[in-house]
Amino acid sequence: MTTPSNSEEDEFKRELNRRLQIIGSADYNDPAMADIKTSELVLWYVVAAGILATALVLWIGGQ
Amino acid sequence: MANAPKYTGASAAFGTLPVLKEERELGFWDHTWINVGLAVATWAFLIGGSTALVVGAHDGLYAIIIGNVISISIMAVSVCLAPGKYGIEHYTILRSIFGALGVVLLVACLLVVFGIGWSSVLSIMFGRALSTVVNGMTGAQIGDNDFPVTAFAVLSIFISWLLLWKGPTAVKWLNRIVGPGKIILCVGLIFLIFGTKTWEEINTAPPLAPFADPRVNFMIAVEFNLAAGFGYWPVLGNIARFTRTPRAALWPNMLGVFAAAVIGEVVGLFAALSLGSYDPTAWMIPLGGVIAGTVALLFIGIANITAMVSIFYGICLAMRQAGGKYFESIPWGFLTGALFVPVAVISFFPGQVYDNFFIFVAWTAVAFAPLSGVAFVDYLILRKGRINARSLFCDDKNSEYRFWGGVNPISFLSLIGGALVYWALFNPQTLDAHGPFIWISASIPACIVAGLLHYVLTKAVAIPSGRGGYPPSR
Repeated sequence: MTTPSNSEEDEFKRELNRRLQIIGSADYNDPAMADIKTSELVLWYVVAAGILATALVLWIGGQ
Repeated sequence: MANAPKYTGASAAFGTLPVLKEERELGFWDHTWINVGLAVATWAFLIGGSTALVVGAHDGLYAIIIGNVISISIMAVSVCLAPGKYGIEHYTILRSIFGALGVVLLVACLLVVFGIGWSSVLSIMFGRALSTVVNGMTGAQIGDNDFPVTAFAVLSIFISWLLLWKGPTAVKWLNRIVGPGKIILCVGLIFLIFGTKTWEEINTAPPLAPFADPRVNFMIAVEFNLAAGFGYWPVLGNIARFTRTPRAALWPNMLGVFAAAVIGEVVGLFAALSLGSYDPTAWMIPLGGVIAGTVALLFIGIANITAMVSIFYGICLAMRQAGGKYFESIPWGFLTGALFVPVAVISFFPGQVYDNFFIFVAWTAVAFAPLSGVAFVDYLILRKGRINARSLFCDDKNSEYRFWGGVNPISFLSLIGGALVYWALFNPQTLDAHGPFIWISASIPACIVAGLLHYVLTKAVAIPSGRGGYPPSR
């Protein structure tokens, strides 16, 4: 296994730090970093529950 | 530019650096097609075929839908939201749950084993598919477990390694072609099945190897499909990491994983019942004739390769994260190649691996159902969707996620608790069902118990002792 040289390690840390600063900045505007809306999560589980309930009804009805 | 940074967006994609807005490559439909490519892998046919071992067409159809919708709706939320939001590699984010050293244990004990297992199954299926093609075209008599099967499996591993070397961009473009193509294959198979059999014949075809109690058979079928859904846990997070919005991170799992997996598994179920074999490589030529069957088998081979690349992309990122600066320095091509070596070794035992596929699937649920419960509770409920990105990369004692010596024993105890519940209800090795299994399955209680344990122990121990960077209890 190779071990990174100090300069590579320093460069990695610098780049990591740069990216973490960008991500943590109040000015950084990345739509992906918005919190998912509660309504979106509720809709997700409503859809899932709807599929589940439909499947159960059709399964029981078809027996 | 003398001072140009060495770590570009491509480097972030291959490594553990957070991706930035301009490096997020996946919109809603890109993510959907990648997930389609993953879900309509031929393991979907194999899971459908395994479902046909215990139930017929009617019960199997609903077992597939019920098992997948429950597991994927829980697993996708637990695994895709945090990497999608922070653009940080999934196994780095898991430090907030298991601690930096804990993630090493998790990767070493679970993910590598299961990733290698899944890839072995896919490579052996590739080997059997190509052997069937050779048999059909030349009249050769290559058996299911003969050496050419292994040789073709090793070939698929080599091709997968080459593709993996090119990184996620290669997978993205490949899946734009292969994803829709696999849907076409599924539709084609449905036409071929119903061209040779009536619905009445398929619907009345008996399961291939059922147990005596029909209630147990149905719930084992549901359990297979719960396990299949939870089994996507190791790979989806690092794909969602490149999505551009929370919506693009979440919903393609319903369209691309749930819907596509159900279609693939139902096709597998019907084909297995029609032809009396759970093995997809045995269906194509009897259904389509030599020419169409050969084309289908070759396409299945390509589909398996895209799936192997996706699995190993996630695992290699996990290895880099878990191995820290040592693995980060290993060239990507070497690291990915090294991980394929055990898959190649296992491919020398095709019968033992491939013909016990359904047992392997049951084992995956023992691990990934509790993991989904713990990750869901930790990120969404205990942390309310907030992670300290800087602390994830901090290895010293000041890190919020150091827990106890780099390990969070609470999350591991919760996993063990969930696994014990699973084991108490259903033995994955012998498929013996116990107690209320026929009503509640094993994966769902294992997931819920693991999540509850994690919540209670974190509230009772971690938060009062100031470990883990959780928001204080009100």
